[in-house]
Amino acid sequence: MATGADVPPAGGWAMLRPGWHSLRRMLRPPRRLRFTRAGLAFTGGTLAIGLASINTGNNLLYLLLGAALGFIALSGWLSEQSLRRVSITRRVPRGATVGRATRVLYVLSNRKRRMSSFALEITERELPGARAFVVEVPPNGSATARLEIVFHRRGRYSVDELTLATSYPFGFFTKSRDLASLGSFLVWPRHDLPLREPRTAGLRARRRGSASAPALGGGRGEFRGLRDYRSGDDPRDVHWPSSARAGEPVVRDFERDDSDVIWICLDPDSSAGDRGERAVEIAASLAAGAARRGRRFGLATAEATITPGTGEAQLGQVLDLLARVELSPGAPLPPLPAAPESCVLVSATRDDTRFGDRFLAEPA
Amino acid sequence: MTLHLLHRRLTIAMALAALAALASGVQAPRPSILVAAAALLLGLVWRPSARASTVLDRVWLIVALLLAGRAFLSFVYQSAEGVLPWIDLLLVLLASEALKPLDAENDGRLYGLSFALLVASAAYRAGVVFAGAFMGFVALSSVALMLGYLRRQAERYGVEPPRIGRRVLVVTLAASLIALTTSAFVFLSFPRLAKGWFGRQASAQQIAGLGDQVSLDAHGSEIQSNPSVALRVEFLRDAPPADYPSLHWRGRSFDHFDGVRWSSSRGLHAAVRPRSYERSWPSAEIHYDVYSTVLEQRILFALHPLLDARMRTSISPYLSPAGDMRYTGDDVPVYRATSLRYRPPAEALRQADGGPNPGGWAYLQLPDLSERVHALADSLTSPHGNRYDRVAAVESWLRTQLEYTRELPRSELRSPVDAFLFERRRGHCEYFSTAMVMLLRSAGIPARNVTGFLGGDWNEFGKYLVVTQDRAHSWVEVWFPEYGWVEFDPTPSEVTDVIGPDGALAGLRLFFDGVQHRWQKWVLDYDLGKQIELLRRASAMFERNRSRPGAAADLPWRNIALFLLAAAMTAWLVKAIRRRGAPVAGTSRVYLDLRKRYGRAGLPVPEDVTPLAFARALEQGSWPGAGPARQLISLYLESRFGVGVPPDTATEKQMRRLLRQADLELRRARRVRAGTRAASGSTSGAAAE
Repeated sequence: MATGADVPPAGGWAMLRPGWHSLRRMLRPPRRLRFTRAGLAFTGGTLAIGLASINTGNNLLYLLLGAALGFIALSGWLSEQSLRRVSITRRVPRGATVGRATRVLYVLSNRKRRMSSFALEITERELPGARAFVVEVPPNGSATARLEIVFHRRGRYSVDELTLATSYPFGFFTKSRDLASLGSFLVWPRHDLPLREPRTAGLRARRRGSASAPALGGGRGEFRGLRDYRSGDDPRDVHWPSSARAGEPVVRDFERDDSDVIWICLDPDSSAGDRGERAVEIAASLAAGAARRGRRFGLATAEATITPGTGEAQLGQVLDLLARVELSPGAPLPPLPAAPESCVLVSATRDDTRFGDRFLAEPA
Repeated sequence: MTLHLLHRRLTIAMALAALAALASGVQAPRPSILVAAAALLLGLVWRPSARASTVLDRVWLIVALLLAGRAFLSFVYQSAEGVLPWIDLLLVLLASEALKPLDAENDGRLYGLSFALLVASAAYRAGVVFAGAFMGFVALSSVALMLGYLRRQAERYGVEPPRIGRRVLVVTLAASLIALTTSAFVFLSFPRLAKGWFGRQASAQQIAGLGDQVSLDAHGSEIQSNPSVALRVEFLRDAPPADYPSLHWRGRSFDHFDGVRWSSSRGLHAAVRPRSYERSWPSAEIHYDVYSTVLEQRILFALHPLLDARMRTSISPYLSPAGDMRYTGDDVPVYRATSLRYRPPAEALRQADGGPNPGGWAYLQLPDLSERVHALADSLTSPHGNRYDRVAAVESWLRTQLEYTRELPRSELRSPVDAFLFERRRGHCEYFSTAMVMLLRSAGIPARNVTGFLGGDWNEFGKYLVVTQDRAHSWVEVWFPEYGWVEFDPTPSEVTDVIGPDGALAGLRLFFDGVQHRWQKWVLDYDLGKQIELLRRASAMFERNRSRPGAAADLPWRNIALFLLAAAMTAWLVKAIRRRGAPVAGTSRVYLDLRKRYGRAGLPVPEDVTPLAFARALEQGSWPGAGPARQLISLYLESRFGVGVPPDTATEKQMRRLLRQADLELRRARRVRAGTRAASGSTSGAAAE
């Protein structure tokens, strides 16, 4: 079940959160009970039979009243059996992206020796509406529940508690208990905006006719040597004979031409409102496009700078940083890692002509 | 069976249980119940197609609308049918839901309608079958509700419904005991504040001889065996009086006889007050509880003379001018009565003569009788000097000179008494009592005809006297100044031998009647008084056991021992089930058996030894039977771990054969060893000598 989550990213509050949550957990009752619609009807019917039996003195109605109350007791016992001795492990995938469904896995383990746990619902307290379901967890076994969440904002979502609930066996009441389960989702900004290719210094030079031959080869320069494979390396660079000899992948390393590097400089000024976020998405999309084309790219933000690299691993680092980056009104430009003409400015407010290329965030 | 089908069948079974509960009630609408039961049974095996379902829905809709209209009209015009139209409507709705396709989302409606049916059955004073149906309903609904919930949740989340194993079903069924226990607890402990209820009561019955008019000739040939229970009487000491077969359970009296039928005159003087009997009669009292059925004539049956009657149900007693205890109200008559045990001695009654007659002319009035009746009365009474002896003479003459029979042909005689006394000389109790009253009145002695029941059968199972309707009887009351009305019974005593249950069937009937009576007494008529009584008994038992030094001997040791035994067996069973764990294949069992046997023979077999290590240990130690044991282990390994070799019965049989061989060799070796030891023992003994 895909569900939406729109919680603002944790800020300074994150420092106090664990203490607050443990205090809240201590004060909270170990189990919570809520009526379902069927439960309300059943309880109403039970009350009606109770009144009728008291009013009429019909002994058989007392029997029925007792049975109805017995069903409530039975429901309480069986639901408790379903909830107890069940633990949950959350498996959060990397790469949750705004607007795209992210699949979270919950592995439920039932440590009871004989009784299955039935009809368990898992909800995240910090992500309202997110709900996963597993119909049965066998005794001494485990089962997996899947949940698809769609995040609407980038950032870090801290999740501290899961709620395990069941309406088993009759669907009259929903009994729930909280389970501590620290974790977080780092939600990347959107990085699929259709953008033109940024103009780097090398590209401009080639257009002027002054670039060296290797620089025209899609970013590959002079062969420098062999090195171990790193995640994100172009598979075309794998040197197969050496890899076969070494027993692990070895790639060819080339001299790079720095003039072809895409330095993305993100302007952290958010005085233009939502356009600041749009600028983050443009920066992410530029990085994704560069990674797709096998170009080297780096990122400069107010918080940190990521040195140029290629491939998926580099893109992951860049998107991680863009997920965490904080914007503020009137913030200055980050320190530039290279000459402005070698950088691509991504901004919501500034249009600085010193930069080699510029992407201005338009209102969405 | 799929979860859907299992769930549907359980839900229909729930409805059938509720239907059985309804059917056990008095005046339940039997034809509608039969039709609904047929539809429900059909629903168990047949699932209509979409087209058939559409057609059926239209039919049900029309029928339901008609029944709803009937119910509405019945409500508006306050028809005598009461809630019957609503029950019919309920049954039709239930039947229609049971015959819906399997994927119809109608579980909630089926649950609700079944439960409504069960509630409706409570209003029909349901019989003991209700208990079984109720328990079945609770057990079935526990499982059905659980399965229904899982089914709906699986559909909602789009996941496969779970495979419900036998264990889950058993656990849920066992857990339904929680509901039943709670039900019993609430039933016993909830304070009963209301007195009576407005449900449908038992239907009033008409018993021959107890109507407003009793025609002598009318039921001459109609007195058939009727085993329906009229009264149940519990004596406070749990044992009946020794002469219980001759106890006369007095119902009503008649003063006017027109030659053919008895009736009651209007304008009788006030009756003798019950308590006035205490002054002159022997003071031995008898206390008993009467559970009566509802008769058309609202009569309270009791032993004569009745001193006091305290009602347990919502009826109001009153004393009629004829001295009969009557009541008003629709409830079932249940009351505690106090009567005097013995009538005044003959000697005292001989002294009671003369004095005013009660009711003036009423108890002396005679129809047009033949002269020979008067002459007979004269001849029987004139030799005696007091009223008692005259009465006794007439009673004795009738008992000895005339014959009792129930097989009288219907006749058109104008004077049945005359014919009975002088021509037929045979008749049933009505003839005897009527003849006696006529003869006494002819002799100037005030007398009246009384109807009621005679004797009863002692139900040892329920410790009460059961009086069936075929014990209806008629006798005579004679007025004695200072003593009031005194009973005389002129019918020959063989009447009790003729009527009444006998044989194994009768024993069975009494047993079921005992069950029914307990149900009625402890469930249907359970009230605040019984709650207090239970509490008092429990606290009295506790106090007695706590305060007395030798109280331990009074404890119900037999019950305690039985309870402990049951608890021990349950614990053993639970432990055995736990120990059993996952089911073990037959081949594994044989292998484990082999290990056990060599373990007993002295080979150390640790828990974690592998089959191959075990086989090596056997061969290295040159254990007897190592050859077949090795083969057995190979077969076990092949069946247990071999790819695509499922364990089959042939392999298991072969393994068992090898086990027997190994065991045989083990025993043989043991015998040889024992023989050798004995031989060496005797040798060394001889050497010592």
